[in-house]
Amino acid sequence: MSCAAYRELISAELDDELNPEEKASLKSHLAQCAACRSLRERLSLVEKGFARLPEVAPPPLRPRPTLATSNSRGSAGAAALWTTLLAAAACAALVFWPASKPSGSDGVALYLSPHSLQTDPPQEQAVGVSEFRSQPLYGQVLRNRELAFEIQLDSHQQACRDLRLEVDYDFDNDGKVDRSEVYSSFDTDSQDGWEVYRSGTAGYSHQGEARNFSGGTVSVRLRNANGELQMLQGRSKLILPYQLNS
Amino acid sequence: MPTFEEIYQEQAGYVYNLALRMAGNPADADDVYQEVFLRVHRYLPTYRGDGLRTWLRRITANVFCTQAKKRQREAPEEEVGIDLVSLESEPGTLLDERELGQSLSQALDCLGPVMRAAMILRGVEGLSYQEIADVLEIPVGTVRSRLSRARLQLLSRLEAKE
Ligand SMILES: [Zn+2]
Repeated sequence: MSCAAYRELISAELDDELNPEEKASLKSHLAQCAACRSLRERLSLVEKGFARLPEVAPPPLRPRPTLATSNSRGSAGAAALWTTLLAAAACAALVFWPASKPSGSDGVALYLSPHSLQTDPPQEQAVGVSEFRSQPLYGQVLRNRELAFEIQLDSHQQACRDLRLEVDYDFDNDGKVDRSEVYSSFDTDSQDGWEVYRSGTAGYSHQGEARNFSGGTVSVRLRNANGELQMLQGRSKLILPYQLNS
Repeated sequence: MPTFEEIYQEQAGYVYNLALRMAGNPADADDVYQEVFLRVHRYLPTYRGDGLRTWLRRITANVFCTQAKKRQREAPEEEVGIDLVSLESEPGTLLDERELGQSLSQALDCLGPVMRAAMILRGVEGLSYQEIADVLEIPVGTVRSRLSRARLQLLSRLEAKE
């Protein structure tokens, strides 16, 4: 056997994947071949490097990929991937909220409209605000349901980085926030055109328990919105997991 | 049975770093990572609850290989020639042990995607040849020969840097 053939045995030996015959054969070759001994020593040093590869903190999941195809690489492949992600995300929303209709027993739709959250859809119109508060609400929380949202945004040529949707609940109208939910950061793209963002599968955190509403309010903020950010009212809504008393 | 959120909270770092080591750059790693969690979400109902890391590793390797193959259609994998002279040099000319992690991370770029994935599954994840063969869906003999060639390429690259 040549030295070249023994190189594969040296590698397999490092992985403890040699049978007894191969082991014996390698041992006797190493006894008489300085080059292979040297190689084995140097390869075992390389092995140590694997335990020292740099560790990196993971980026947030993109809660909702944008409809636009612009991204860091902008290739056709990336665009196709976005489309796939988007389709998958739509499925994901269905899995999480099997029956999130605008009304009925699965929640109540609240439409985002300048400074307010209302149960009737407003006319479609671009608005430049990022805070919304509901009228006093009365109703029961639906257990085992989660809030869903769908918002259409455009920040024109200036992307909003690390945009977050924050939802605060004051169930009893005592002016204190009883529960807050944060839907993790996403970026808008830097091209003109509406992009749809939906509540997704991750990057969600909350504090405080959900309770029934007794005249309290819910408020919504888009954090890190810059002056360019516009929202399409009439197409932007939350589905709150509540059954409201009419 | 873990929920999606629990898996994400506990395993995002693991998945991302595995993806990054296989892909070698943050942009491709992020594509892999995002797709992995979409699949986790989609297939969670069919997950039987045994060996979470094994399951995640398989999905990650699978996504990585699929995406790498797509990219390769544009730029086919080329085998880097192994400099036999450097293989016969004396030890001591080698590698700064303190910077080994960093330089290995760069040297991994010289490997094609499947070889690289095999090397990471072995070196970082500690899988057996049979397990690597299962994950990457290649024969065991191929795993062994590829790992051997991968190591020689890495060594050659690391020593050439000195
Ligand atoms: Zn030899």
